[in-house]
Amino acid sequence: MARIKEYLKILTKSPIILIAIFTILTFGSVSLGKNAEINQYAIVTAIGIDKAENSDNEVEISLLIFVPVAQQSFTEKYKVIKAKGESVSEAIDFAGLSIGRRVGLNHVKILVINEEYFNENASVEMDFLVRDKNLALSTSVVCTDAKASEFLEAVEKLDSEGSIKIDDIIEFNNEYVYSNESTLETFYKGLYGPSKSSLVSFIALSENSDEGVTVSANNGEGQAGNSGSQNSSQSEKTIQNDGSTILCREGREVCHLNSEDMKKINFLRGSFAKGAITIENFSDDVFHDARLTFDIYESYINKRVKFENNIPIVNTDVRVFVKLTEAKENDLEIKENVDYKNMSTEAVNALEKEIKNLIKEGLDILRENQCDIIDVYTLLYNHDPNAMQKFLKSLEDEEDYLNHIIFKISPQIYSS
Amino acid sequence: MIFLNVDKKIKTIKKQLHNSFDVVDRVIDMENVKVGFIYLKSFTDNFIFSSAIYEPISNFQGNLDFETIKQLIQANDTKEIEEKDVLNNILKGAVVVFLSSSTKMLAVDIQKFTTRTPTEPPTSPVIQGPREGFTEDIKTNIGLLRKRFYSSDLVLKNLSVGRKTKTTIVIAYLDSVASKKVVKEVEKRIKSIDIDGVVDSYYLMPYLISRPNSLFKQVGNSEKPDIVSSKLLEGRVAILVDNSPMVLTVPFVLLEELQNPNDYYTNYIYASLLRFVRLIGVFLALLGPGIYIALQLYHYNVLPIKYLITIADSTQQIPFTPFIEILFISLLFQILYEVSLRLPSYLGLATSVVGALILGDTGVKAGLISPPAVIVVAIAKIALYTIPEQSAQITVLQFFFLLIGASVGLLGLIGGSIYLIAYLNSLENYHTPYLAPFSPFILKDNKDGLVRASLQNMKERPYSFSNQNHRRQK
Amino acid sequence: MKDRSINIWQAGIFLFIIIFANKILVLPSLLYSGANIEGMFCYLISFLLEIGLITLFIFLKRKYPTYSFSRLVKEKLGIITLKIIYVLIAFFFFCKLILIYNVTYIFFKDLIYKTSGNFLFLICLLPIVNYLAVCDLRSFGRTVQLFFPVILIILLFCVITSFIGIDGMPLFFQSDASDVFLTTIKHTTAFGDVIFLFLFMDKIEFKKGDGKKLFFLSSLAMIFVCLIMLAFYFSYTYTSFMHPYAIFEILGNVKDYGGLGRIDVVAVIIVMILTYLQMGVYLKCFTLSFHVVFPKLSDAYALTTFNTIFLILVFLLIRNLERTITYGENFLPYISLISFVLIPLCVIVFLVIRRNKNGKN
Repeated sequence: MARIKEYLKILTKSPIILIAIFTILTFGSVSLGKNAEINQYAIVTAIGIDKAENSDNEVEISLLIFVPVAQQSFTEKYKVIKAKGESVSEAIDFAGLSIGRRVGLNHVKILVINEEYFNENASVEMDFLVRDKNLALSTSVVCTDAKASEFLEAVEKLDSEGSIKIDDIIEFNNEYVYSNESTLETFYKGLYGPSKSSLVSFIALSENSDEGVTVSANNGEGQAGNSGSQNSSQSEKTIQNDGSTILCREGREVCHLNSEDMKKINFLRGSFAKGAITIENFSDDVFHDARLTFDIYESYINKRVKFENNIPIVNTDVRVFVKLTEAKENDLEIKENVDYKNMSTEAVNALEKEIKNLIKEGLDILRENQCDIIDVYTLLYNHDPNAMQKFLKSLEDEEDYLNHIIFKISPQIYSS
Repeated sequence: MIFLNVDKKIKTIKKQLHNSFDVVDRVIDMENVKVGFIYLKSFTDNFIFSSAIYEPISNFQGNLDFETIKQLIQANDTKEIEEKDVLNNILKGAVVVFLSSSTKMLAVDIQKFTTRTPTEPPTSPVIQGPREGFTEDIKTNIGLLRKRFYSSDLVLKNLSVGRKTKTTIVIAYLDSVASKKVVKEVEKRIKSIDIDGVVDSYYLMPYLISRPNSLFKQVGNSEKPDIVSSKLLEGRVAILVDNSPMVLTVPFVLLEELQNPNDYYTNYIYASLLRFVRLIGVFLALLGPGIYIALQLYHYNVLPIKYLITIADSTQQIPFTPFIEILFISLLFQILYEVSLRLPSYLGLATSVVGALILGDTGVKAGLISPPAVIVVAIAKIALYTIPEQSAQITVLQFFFLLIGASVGLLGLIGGSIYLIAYLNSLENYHTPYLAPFSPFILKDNKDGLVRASLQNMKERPYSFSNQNHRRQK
Repeated sequence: MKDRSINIWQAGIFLFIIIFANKILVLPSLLYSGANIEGMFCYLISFLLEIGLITLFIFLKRKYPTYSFSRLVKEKLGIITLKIIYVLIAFFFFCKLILIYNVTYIFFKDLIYKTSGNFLFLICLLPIVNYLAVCDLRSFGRTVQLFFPVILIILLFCVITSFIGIDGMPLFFQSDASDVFLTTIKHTTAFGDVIFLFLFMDKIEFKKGDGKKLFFLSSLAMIFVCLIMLAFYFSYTYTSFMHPYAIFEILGNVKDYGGLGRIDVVAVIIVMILTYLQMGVYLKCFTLSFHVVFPKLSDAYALTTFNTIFLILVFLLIRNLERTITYGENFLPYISLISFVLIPLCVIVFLVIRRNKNGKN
């Protein structure tokens, strides 16, 4: 008893001993047996959503998961896991069951959705993924015409071979084709915004192995049923990236745009990162009946809005910096001004006309589909909310406001 | 007239010294007087005794009295002493001279030790700059300090500590610079020490601080006279201890550990960069393993996919849990370190090879440990030695943070850091905050803080602790 | 332990942390739901009220440089009023502690700790917060002073990086004044903590011109709050209501930063640091108030009381975000009356009584 009292006295005199004992006992016991989270979670890098075969209500989830292998080299091994369920969250649970790990969505980079969903309302199926805080809203969304599971299988082959990765393709598209990211966030921003419109990237899967990135995915037989599966069907498919995009309104696809259409729309959005303009049958002092191709290496847009007689007018100044990259003419002979730095007035006029036409065509696409991707509504509303409200009320169909806005386009061409 | 029985006196003193074999007594029987000498031969200079003391007295012709003896003795350090000081002086290497015709006694210091030369201390090597280091002899150490201060401003106060060892302690400070309060407090604390003996300056450390049980060093120390001199110039007080090459300085701030003598003998921009590197080294050493463990156990989602893949692949076959793995590797490193300290140099190479092979190669190949864990622990252990004086503290804290990171994750690591900082902020000695000049933030002192300003710009003494005169240069 | 005094910079940094920490997590999203982009005005109104409180404090401090607030209350209003007021203040800070703990627990659990329970958080938070509450105020002040540059750098990083991710404009002028005022009232809970200055009154060294430093640091905090709010609204515009954790989400909008992966962990770190420091201040205020109400009881009693009731309530109370917000919107605005009505009233009464005394003399 006396000894115990002595020890207690030492402890109270030196609290550091107490702290050390407390720390080691509490924290040590917790930490000694704890296993790494990496071994408890399946690392998912891509998710695919399809409508389940032979079922109207069910949804099929495909998960592209990374498989850790004890090795010293740098090759990565991936696997596609499929599962069905009545909802996306249920399907993900079943997928976890089949692999014996919890599904970790923190590293998901791509969300692939079958085009069928965009014919109804894709946002319904994406609801779970938006609510899950682990999934970053900067996850790229890709629409595909084939089954999402086949797409992921093609992606798996790409990743395993260490060749061109799907991330690179998507990043390239985001930067140079759409000039915008097609992510969950942008999709929902468009959906909940006044325009209710968004752009979603589209990458097809082609049966034709001559086109696109030649990769084949050939695995074992698939399994049906309300469960998770680790095999996939035999197929030879290639990823075909042609710069397509789908235009969505209220979560539904309204238009399928090719890369040319995107270029026209990008002029209006003022985010033109890559492209070329061609003028046919051009003649001036230097060229005669030539076909000239100009590369656009920079473009700026400035929109000034005003209301005149209750009609909104958008004055769009487009400044484009171009450089001649190709001239096709029979017996072309240029002795000076080889780079065509001093562009002739005819060339400038021709380019301006061409750009104006392109912008008009882009605008027509948006008007036809009532998709205000260029967000002119916000510009007008912030300029004069009352006038905007008045203008909208004066329309028969408020959602068709784009057709009633006057756009005055003034392109200005500068050579390099 | 006989005032003192010389033989009896010698017998008494020899008895007090337990008739130790190194006690030497000599008696000269002169015409009118008997002269007695007693000293310890083990650490006195016999040559000086014979030539400067014994011979002149024995060869004297005439009436010998006390004053005459004082003049005859040709040694420098001669003083009159009283009865109570006889034993002390003999024990300190003096020869005591007494006459039968006088009650007065004389002590002549003929102390002689074999000491080593002031070589570069192994704990503070420099690339450029002085390489002298303190030795175990306090007189040499005082000499090394004196030759750096050719002014009367340097004050040296002599004290004695230790009932058995009666170790000489010297307090050194600059009279016009150091705070009188600090000097007084140091003196008071040293005088209040009641201890058997002081073998090394480290024994004094707990008595000089208010929280002796703390893990953290609260008294500065150095083996180099140039460092101690610069600290004296800043207004600190130095404490030299006989038989110890380590000189203590107070007040102490943690910033001193970040500073290195090399910083002042090289370009200031480079020196500033090195300080940042040291700070990063400290962070890596303290938190590196903890963060690695926390990320693995709780926050795998934070890791980018590429690193995750590497770690997942590497840790697949490891039988241990991550915490045990890191502990195991840390323990191996620590064992290697201990072995390398104590091993004879001819075995050092073999041990390094065995250690590197076991840890670096075989262990990984056998699947006992993973390469990322080895890298993390290796970096942490190497980074520990950016500030070698704090390696003990950082090692303990490393374990503490490892434990917290493994059990609670990032939240615990940050909480632990806050606790550590709050604790360090509560340490204060001689009215000097431990984390000055960072906390409290003293702008002027930061010229020699994380960055080092050029010497021309360091015009003032530190404000982190009190001193009398802040101006150094115009 | 008797607290030593802190200098004005340390007091200002406490103020910065208290003003800033509450308002960068769930509040922006809630204000957007109530008043769209005009939720910004809710901040401005509430900040004006807080500046009013700070001004009152400076005024009081100048008049009574060595007095503590409890001494003033005791002398002017009597001992019973003193006890009542301090019980209310203790209750105020206790409620705020519960709210902060719940919000941050849910935040951490949602984002970085998926499977861990309450116990893990409590074992981590409580000892540190308790230590901060009982350690000397000067040590605490120096600690926050040391963390301040780290906090500032991280905040600057967050703000600058988040503005990179902005690519759209929200719609302005969608809400009217009534929406703004109603939303402000609903969320007054997040404001008013600056009354801690009154509790630390006698421990703050105040010289001439120090008022400007307090205003500077509080304005800096308010500016940062507004910048983060703006970054959040401009980043997410119409989807702001979908993102409950503002400071985390504005960094999440910036994709894969230089190969370092998701940088939103930076937001998590800053929230962790601020949580500890903020809870430390609140608990210290609680302890001080407890000590005034029960002067003979030491800090150990205050902490034991707090820890016991806290542990009971934390296990019984809300543990999901929606219910926490409901608790914050429905119940806690009433306690804000303590900071926005009671304390200013006391201060005005002190000044009036003094003036009357002077007038009579």
